[in-house]
Amino acid sequence: MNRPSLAPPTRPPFWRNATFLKWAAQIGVLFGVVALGYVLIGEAAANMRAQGLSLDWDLLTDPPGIQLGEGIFVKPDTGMEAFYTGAVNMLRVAMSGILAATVIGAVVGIARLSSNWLASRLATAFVETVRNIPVLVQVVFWFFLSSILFPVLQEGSSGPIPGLLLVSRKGISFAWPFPQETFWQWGVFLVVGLLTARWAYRTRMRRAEEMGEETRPLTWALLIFLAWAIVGWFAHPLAGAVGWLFGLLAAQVGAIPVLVYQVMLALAALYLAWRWIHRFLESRRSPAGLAKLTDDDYFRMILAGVLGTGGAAVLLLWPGITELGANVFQALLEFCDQKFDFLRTGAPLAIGQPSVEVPGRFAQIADTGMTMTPSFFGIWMGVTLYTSSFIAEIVRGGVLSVPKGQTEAGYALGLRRGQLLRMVILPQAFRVILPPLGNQYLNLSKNTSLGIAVAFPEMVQVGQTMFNQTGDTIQVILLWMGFYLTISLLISLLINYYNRRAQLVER
Amino acid sequence: MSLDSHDLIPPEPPPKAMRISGFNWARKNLFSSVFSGTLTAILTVGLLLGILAVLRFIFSPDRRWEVIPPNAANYTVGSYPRDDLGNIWWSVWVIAALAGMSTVLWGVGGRVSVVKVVAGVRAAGVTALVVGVLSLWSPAGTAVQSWLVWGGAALIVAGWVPMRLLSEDRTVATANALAALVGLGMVVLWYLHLDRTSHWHLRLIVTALVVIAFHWLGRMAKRWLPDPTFKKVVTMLWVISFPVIYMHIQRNPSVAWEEVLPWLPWAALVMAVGPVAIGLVSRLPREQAAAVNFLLGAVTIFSWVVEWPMAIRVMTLLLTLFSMAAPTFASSPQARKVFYWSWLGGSLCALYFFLLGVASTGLDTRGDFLGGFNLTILLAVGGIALSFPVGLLLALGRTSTMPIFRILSVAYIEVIRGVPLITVLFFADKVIPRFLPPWVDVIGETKALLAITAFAAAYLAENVRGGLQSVSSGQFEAARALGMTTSQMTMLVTLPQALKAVIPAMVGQAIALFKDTSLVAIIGLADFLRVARDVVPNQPDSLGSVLENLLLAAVVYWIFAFSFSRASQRLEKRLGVGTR
Repeated sequence: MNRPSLAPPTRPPFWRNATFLKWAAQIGVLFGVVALGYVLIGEAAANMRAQGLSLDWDLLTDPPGIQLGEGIFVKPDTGMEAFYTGAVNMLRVAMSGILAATVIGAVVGIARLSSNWLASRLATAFVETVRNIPVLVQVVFWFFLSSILFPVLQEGSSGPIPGLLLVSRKGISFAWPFPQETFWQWGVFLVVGLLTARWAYRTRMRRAEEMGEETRPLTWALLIFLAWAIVGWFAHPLAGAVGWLFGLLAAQVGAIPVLVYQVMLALAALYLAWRWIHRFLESRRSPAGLAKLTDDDYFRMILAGVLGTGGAAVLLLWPGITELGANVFQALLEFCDQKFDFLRTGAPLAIGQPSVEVPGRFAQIADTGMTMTPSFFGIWMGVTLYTSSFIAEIVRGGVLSVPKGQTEAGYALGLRRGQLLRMVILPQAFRVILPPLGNQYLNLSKNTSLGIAVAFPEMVQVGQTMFNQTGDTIQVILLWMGFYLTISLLISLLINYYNRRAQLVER
Repeated sequence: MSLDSHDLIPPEPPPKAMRISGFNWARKNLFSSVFSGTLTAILTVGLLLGILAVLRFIFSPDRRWEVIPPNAANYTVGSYPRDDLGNIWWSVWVIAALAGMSTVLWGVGGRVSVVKVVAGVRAAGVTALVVGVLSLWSPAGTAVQSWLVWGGAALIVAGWVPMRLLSEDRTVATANALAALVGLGMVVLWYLHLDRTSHWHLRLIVTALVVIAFHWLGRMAKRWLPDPTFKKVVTMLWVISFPVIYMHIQRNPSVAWEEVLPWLPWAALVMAVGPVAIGLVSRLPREQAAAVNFLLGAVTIFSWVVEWPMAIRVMTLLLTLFSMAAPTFASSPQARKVFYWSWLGGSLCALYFFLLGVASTGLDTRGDFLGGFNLTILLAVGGIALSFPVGLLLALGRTSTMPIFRILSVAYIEVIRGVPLITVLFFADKVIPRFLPPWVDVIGETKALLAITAFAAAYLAENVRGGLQSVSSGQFEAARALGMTTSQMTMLVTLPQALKAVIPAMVGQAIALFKDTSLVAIIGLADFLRVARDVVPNQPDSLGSVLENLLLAAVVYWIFAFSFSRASQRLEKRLGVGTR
């Protein structure tokens, strides 16, 4: 036997060990970050003490002594009310803006692909103009345009379309169906109608696919929904039963002791952590056996375990958190209960028309119609048009991404142009469009914060007004971050949900 | 029989473009179906009404466009002291000189068809004539109208005559066409000089001359410098030109030499020690090199503990970083030479900027001296340049296998991307002063620049991450097989490929950043938008002219953003992204 002798395996010294070095560097950096934070926060605390400020949350409960331009609480009694008003105003702009931007963007995006030269050139001009001007410039421009060029509001002004639309420097007011106190009862019928319409659409669609006959699923769905809406308009007191159900539930929720909820939630936290670790290990397993786990893998599993156990411990140790949750849930149920009553009658919607009132020396828009103030107009026009130019590009890209062979195949099967668009092009384009579209919705929501430039009382403007009064900048900025991160998370969850459903299922 | 090239039939010239009659074209593109025809009719009416409304708006007697030219200085530099405007011109000339040198590199040597040039001239003439004639119906008869009408007519003639004389495939050097354009602009400026007291038209002419002079200088330099070196030198000059302009030329610092002189020799000593340390570290075996680095690190920490002059501390820290990087990047004699030069340049720059940074400004202003478009440029260029290294680190952290780095990077990126820029700006404006000791006074521009950098870095990190993920794993395996360390692999293999893949995305982000700088108007900085929205419309001479000024702002922002995006499209085509 003269095999070459192998040197006995020696472990490298620990300072040459890659795993040790990696963790030393990470813990060193973490220590540095924490130390920097500690020093900075200490300095901030000292500075704030010197200025007589403190890091408490009194600003949410104290009367803020501010006045807001528009919204639910124009003169809020607490900081909470002020921020609530700001949040609702922000959501109004964001939701109506998302809706309008999607429609405009889709129309312009398709127009850019139109075979009509004028339409495609105009759409291109729109996109290239709007997306290359900063959104803040556009917001401010629309605001000043509406408050300088629109007609002056006088007694007897009735706008370009009397009774329907009133345009003035004080704002744009238009007729609007306002929900009455029976609206919730009607809403039950609408929801049921929506669900049955969906069910009808699916069954008719399935039949069309299986039998190959024209079943008109969309017409059916629309008719069913309309039928429910019409029946509900008159029969809505029947939905009072829903209120009785809510009342029963609320009583039950209040009757169960908090400890039961605590244990259930803690168990859920532990289960989620266990499930995550289990699935992680499964993902590392192959027919050849469990893959070698790296230190990173161990870190992930330990972190999941620590988070789950920590969450469970927090839930069990502080019953206040669970109690608050249960109380909020119960209050919500009771709130719903109050919205329903067998004896409540009357139309669920009432049309309000714009009108002018003269309370003092100056004419004002009365709150009979739906009114868009110049601030709202500015921020809404600005963010909507800006975002719609990007959406147009996304739609165009999505439609162009469908291979030409699909169109040719569709025509070869004898589809008409409309059918081709609806059944072949759009479903495939939708898949490409959805993720960037979600990003644009996020951008639009974040851009509503520019309302501060035109004194529109959304979250940022309210916050700035608040900290100008109290000096509590850190708290306000934390509130902003919490709010916007929640909104961003919600929108991305929604988009991810639809995205998963729209993606191709690959075998 | 051999197949020689002269045996082949010469290729036929490409066919001339077919001329389609206007009627056929319209039938095909405007009235192809009933729907299309109706659409055309509706859009034509709408377009005409829209144009009329815009013209009525522009030429209304209520509009006061004449307030814009006297405010040119406000728009360009904000409240910069008017006695020191020379500093601004010097910065313009620095940029002009560098641009002139770079024209040699950018290869402005292409040719452009004469037909295209004269078509452009004719289009400009027609636009001017149409706008001028239409404006005759508006009540205000100003001098601008006759300028538009006569100028437009002249341009049409100038664009029509050569069309009849020249053949279609005559071309002209792009450089000459550009020079002619600049010359024409100069002549127009000379006659139009709107503000006779400031002689800005003379200085613009000097700017053009600087561009041309440095173009020739660049050509000469190219003759006796190898191409890559010349390219590197020009790039380095561009990189340091912006800090030089904003920290030195425009800030005009007054250096307190009696405080500086005592520690200058020590700084020179550190600079001299540098090559020795680097040479040692790159030649010694690993363990001993680590010992040298350890020693340098100890000296650095010691320098902070006993509070040596700040400049010496910074220089020592820089030296430690350089010597730590030396084993990776200075292993061969060739690389070592480059590394010595980088140490020399890097330490000199650090010293220079430190000297300027601590000196107080010699301008007669309170705190913020930058404003107008000057500030917009600073924020955009500074934000892009500073966010690049931060974003790179964040992207590497996010793709790293080290969990704590990954968690920190992900948390930073997602938080920043989840909140609007304006909240980050408010954070910088209101909260950063709280974190600092009371005697540190951070001016508004610095805070805004910090906020924009922090914001842009998160978005850049996501772009770079996309690039990092596009590098195929075979590249890593090849690098490992060659025995590269992780840092060598990252710097020499991964990053070059990743960055090249995401250049278009990064240019798009830079354009977005340029537009986003307008948000600093909200936290009270006098940037271009703020001048247009608040400063000019609140002056007694131009009270309430806010729409005119906002439109000007929109047009200026548009010109820049649009030309950037066109340039990026060309770049994308040249890089061939997405075609492989």
